[in-house]
Amino acid sequence: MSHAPVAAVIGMGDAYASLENRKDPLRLAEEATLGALADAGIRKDQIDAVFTGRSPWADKRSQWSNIFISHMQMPVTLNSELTMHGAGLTATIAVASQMIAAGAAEYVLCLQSDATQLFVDAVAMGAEADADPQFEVPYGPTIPALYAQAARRYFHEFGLTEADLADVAVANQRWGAHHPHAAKAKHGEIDRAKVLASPYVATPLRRWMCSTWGGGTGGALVVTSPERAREARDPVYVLGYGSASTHEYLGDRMNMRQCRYPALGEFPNLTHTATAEAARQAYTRSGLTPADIDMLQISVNFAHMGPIVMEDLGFAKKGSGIDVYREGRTGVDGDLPTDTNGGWLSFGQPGISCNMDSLVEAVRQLRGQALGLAPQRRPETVLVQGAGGMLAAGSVLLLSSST
Amino acid sequence: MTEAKALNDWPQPYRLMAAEPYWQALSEEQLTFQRCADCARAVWPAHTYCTHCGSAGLSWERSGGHGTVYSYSTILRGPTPVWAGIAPYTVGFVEMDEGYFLFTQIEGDPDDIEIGKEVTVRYVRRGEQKLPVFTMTGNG
Repeated sequence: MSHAPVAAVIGMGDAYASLENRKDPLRLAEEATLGALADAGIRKDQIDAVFTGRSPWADKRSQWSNIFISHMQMPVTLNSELTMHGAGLTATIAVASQMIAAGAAEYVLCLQSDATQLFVDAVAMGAEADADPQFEVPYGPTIPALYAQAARRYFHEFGLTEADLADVAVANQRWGAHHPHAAKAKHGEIDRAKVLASPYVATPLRRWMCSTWGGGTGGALVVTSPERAREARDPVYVLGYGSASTHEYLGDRMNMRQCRYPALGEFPNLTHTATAEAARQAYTRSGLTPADIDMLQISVNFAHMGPIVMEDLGFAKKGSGIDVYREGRTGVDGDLPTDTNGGWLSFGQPGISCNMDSLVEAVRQLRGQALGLAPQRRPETVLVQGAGGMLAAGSVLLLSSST
Repeated sequence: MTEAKALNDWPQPYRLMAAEPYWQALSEEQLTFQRCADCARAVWPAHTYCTHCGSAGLSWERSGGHGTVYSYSTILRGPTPVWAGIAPYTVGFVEMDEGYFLFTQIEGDPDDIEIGKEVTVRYVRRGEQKLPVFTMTGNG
């Protein structure tokens, strides 16, 4: 039985850019925000607080949330960035919920935008934003190579193979092929052989097992109390939230000998993430279990993170997450449709905003407004998981169309 | 101009105060790490206080330079011209015999590298800096 909702999303706005239709992060944020305000039926001067994730890759000025409210000419009582990488962005909804529950705000705006591919050479930036500049960057790691450390261990400890990871890419592309803004939509559906024939980016990860920097996106959500949401059209209730952060640099994580969160297993390991603890908090707070979840929007930037996140969220035991994909459960006819916009693997990662893309997709599916495919039965409860950094942080939200 | 130069040079470590002894020892081709006098455990990366017990009794010790491969990945596409120039190259974590994990480059044919294989340190100059990298033990 679930507990009472802690907050509600009453307004959602999204915006998209591409190489043919260039928009910068400020423009995308503005467009999404105006959409969210109109959807919520409120004015910008009713927003008490604004939270974003960290600065967009395509506009790296610090204090970006200040820059945004300044640009919008929108004074607020509090604005900030949650810097747990992408997981911080997902956690903005949790902080908004806390402010609202504390009576410190009536309406909170959570937003993010980015358009990396359109403005920066992300490959040249390499892992410099996410790797230790003292002990890792001098060895030239790339982001795929850092994630590949976990893939290699995952293969070693649980006997998975590249063919298993191919199945994750195939499953996500089945959704992505039908989404109008998915970066890989143009390739259509793919098969295992196609994934395994694609070149290695960083072993054992091949190109189709890696996300791509795709276009630009912006998303904005207006959060308020469940009581105020009663007057709203199509509110989405926040039933639970959780988050955890274990490190910034992978080298720090590898040298931790213990962790206060039992769900992360024996240390050191690279096969459990902070998402496991985030999920525990969200389930506890909401009174829900994995059996209550109808749909997932998760952070699969590299194919092995699909099964690892499934396990961390409690949908499979450690080492068996691939079964959720193999059995077709994540598909449009499955009992656990997952990454319904194609996810980070096929929709792409426009940048920091990828976690907001997952939230936008969840709200659209709950409201029956999907831009791509939707399962025949509209989901009632969607779990959104946002990861950030090099396996560094995880946030989980449980969203529902009913109280 | 500065940016173009940076992309064509080896990235240099962002040296923090706690690690100065490490970088100085490397210039003399010595690999070092810290050990806690109170809990006796190895501490890495460099700290001022023990990450395990909080003690201020950290001292630098010389590593024997041997360990085993914990994980690794071979990069096919170097992020900048200097890295593209040596690709494919392999980066990974070595579990050092002294009980800490070092992120490093693992040299040799990528097909020969496996989790659990023994590796030994050697030193390479990258720009101003000497860095420890590892080769398969017995191949070097």
